[in-house]
Amino acid sequence: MDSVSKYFSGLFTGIGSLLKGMSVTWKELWTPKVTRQYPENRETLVVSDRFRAELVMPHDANNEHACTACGICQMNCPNGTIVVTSQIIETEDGKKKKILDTHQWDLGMCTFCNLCVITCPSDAIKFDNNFENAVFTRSKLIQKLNAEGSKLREKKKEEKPTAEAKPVIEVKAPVADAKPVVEKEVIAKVKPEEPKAEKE
Amino acid sequence: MEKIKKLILDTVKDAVIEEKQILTVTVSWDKLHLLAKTLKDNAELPFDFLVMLTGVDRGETLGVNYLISSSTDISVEVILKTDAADRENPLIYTVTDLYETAHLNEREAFALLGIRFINNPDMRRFFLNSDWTGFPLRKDYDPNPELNPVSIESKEIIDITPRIMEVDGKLVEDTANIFEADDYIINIGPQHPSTHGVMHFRTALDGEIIKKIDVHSGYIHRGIEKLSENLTYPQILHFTDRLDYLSANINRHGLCMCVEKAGEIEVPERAQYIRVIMDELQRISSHLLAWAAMTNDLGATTAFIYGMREREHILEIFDKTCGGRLIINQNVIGGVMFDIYNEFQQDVKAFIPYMREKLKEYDRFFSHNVIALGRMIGIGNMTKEETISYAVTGPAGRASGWSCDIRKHQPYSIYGQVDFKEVIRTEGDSYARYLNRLDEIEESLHIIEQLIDNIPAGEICAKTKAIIKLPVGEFYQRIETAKGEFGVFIESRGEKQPWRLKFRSPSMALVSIMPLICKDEKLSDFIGIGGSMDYVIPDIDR
Amino acid sequence: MELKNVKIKGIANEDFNDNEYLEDYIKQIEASGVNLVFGKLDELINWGRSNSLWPLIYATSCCGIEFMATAAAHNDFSRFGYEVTRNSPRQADMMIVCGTLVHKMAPLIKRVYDQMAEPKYVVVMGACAISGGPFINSYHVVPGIDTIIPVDVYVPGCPPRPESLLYGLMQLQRKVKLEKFLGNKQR
Ligand code: SF4
Ligand code: SF4
Repeated sequence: MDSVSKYFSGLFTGIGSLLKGMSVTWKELWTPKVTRQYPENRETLVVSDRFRAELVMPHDANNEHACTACGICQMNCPNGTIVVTSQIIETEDGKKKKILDTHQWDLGMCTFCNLCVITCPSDAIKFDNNFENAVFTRSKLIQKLNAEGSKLREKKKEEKPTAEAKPVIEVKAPVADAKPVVEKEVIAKVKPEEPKAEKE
Repeated sequence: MEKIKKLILDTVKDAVIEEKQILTVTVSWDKLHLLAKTLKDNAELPFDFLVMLTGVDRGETLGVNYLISSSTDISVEVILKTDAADRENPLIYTVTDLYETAHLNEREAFALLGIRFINNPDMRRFFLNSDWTGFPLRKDYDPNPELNPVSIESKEIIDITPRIMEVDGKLVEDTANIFEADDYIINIGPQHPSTHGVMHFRTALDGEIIKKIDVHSGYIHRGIEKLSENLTYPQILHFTDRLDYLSANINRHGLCMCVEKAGEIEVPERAQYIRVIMDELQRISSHLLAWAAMTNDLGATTAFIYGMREREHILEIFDKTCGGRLIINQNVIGGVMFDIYNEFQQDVKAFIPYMREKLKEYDRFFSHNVIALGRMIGIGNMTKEETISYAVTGPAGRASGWSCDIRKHQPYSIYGQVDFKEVIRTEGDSYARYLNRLDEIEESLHIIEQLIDNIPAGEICAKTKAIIKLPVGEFYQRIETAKGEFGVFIESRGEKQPWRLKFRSPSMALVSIMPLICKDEKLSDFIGIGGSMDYVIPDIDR
Repeated sequence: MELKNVKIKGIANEDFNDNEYLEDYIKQIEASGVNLVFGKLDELINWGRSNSLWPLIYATSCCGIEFMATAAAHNDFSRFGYEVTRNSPRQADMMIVCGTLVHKMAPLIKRVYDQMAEPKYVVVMGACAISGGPFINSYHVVPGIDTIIPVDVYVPGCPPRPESLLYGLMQLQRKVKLEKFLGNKQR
């Protein structure tokens, strides 16, 4: 083949391939748009129920939660995001009892690994899908999960974890070797139940 | 294997051979090179593929484990172990002359453990700055932040490397220059939009032609391996998602399998199915992103938008299943964390034909475009021998004619039961790698198709012991991610934390071959070749 | 400028987090005197500025991919005028830091930040950039970008979903709208 015809055949196959490509992009003009119009669609936006954006401690109408301050979540957290502080009080019948002081969780540090939720023996915490969390101040990301004045929900039947809640949880700075000391209960619950998929 | 054993004993008489999970051979540090060479030159079954090079602080001594395999059958494995004679000044002979991939791995071992390799032409620290105090992976490392404070002063880059060479039987320490004195050097990276992450290529140019590339890494070195030594196995899992985040689920599958194998945990069938389906979806999403990024590197922004658009469908499925889009935290030891949601099958089945149609579209509008072809065909060639020596696996390795798919050669989980083709091309250029990825998407769809209707009922996670402690021993697991072969090595001393954990990063091999295949190419093609390799930097740096 | 006059389409003012910070910010600005002449002109300029914040992407790891997803078809942040991602710090208004910052990278981020022209903003995306996140205990990770450069908006998540990032960027828009561009120096 001489060079001139080679040149032209090259040129035309080239143009041909470009036109073929452009036919695809041209078609795109008539396909429905896929862009989600956040924030205009804020009311209708569906975010998966399982999406982990924020740790919450559900409280019921009586301002009661299920956290027994056992500190298992804190020990399972790989990077010290959770700090549970508790205090010992004396109940009416003279027994010593540990109650939750603050359950502090740092949104700016959490890796959303879900270990705290699946290991919590009393299902006191869960993840919520509210993703609108951006702030201007770093300290606003450190959240106290238990509401003001809330207390432990009394169960009719004896709650299992309270009895075993022996680990001493002092307020301490998150440290590297926050080794899970209480592994007894830790993995016992690893079998995850159908996570809150369809409800709500 | 008997033959291999005999060969080993013939070469090194006092080698200690143990039959463990994998045949393990311990030799003294001065014999290792000889043994490796003999095994590599073994004509019948050449051990020419260095899978993993792991420096280990064994307590008393510092040593190195080599997991070697054969390119003809990557399921055969032998482990060579050696210890440096002196902890204060640990020295081991390099194997860089046998396996090119050892080069960066040995530099890594030097940076993290302080083991120096005799005859390695380049003994600068990888990952860490050259003035770093201490060797982090040693057990006696002092983590005091005051020793290594965060500095915001820029450091000069010095292109002189120390090294330790053997000349006439004597060890000589000297230095060498990386570049020639009058080289024209430009920096590509570390923060450059087309290096696919924070990689730093110091590039010597001759006009527009690349003369030499020097790879600097560590701009995202997070010390995952050291962190893991203080965490329990379930806690370590979340790091794997953040290595090669595009293959997050597959990496995690690898670590889970390693722990399960060591702890003899049986994974329920339902979990296996879910894992494999998720892995393949992840592979598709990773290849789509790779495709999108590569086309973007070649100048086709439209194609980038297309790839990301299709990927979003997979992310949505992930989001609904596991509550995460990119980092999904799905696998746990013994199974999976989340069961599939009700419409899962329906969504996945809708995605398959959709994706097939889009693949046709991609083919129409990009794969035969003249400009794209001109920038891919015959660019960035690597031969099969080079591929093996640099241990480049995955779609890139298979584009050079090397059959290296772990799913085929060492079927794990339920890959033995599904039917799929290993996509192999022999051209070895950017275009072959590009096409390989698109074809692998098709194969992955095919795998999903076979499984999606047959997910068995049952448990999604095995009951595991309260504390997961692994028996004393060394455990390896290899798995095929979207980038290539990912490996996990755990040395357990019977604790709930690993003694040493190491990940083999497929991307490290992909980057290590870049200087070779970019040599004598144009600078603008360097970007395109990088796109065709599809490496993920956090995977390299760990 | 009062906070209630700062309007973002789609989300009411009181629905935003951390309005206290903006109130304080207004007071600070106000303290340096109200300029009647430039008032309206300022508003116009800020309207323009807040709708054309050009980002410099400092993507080091995973979060960078979610940033790319934000840029792509499904979330398309060019709806807000962010799409002109600049690779040169000199042309950028804000820096979005996506991903872990390690010791070796620290001098470089500082240098890039210094190269940006005023007024400049920093949005950090993801746990790593905010505090070190998963790797906070590591020997080689900087515990939070704010130890090195000032940060305007924190977008938590690991990684934050694209909508989260958009929300964070709208927060920044609100802040920009409050400022006085003429005759005043904020930082
Ligand atoms: S999700 Fe993981 S990182 Fe976050 S608080 Fe729970 S255990 Fe800690
Ligand atoms: S915050 Fe999470 S997703 Fe973002 S870079 Fe860090 S580890 Fe990756």
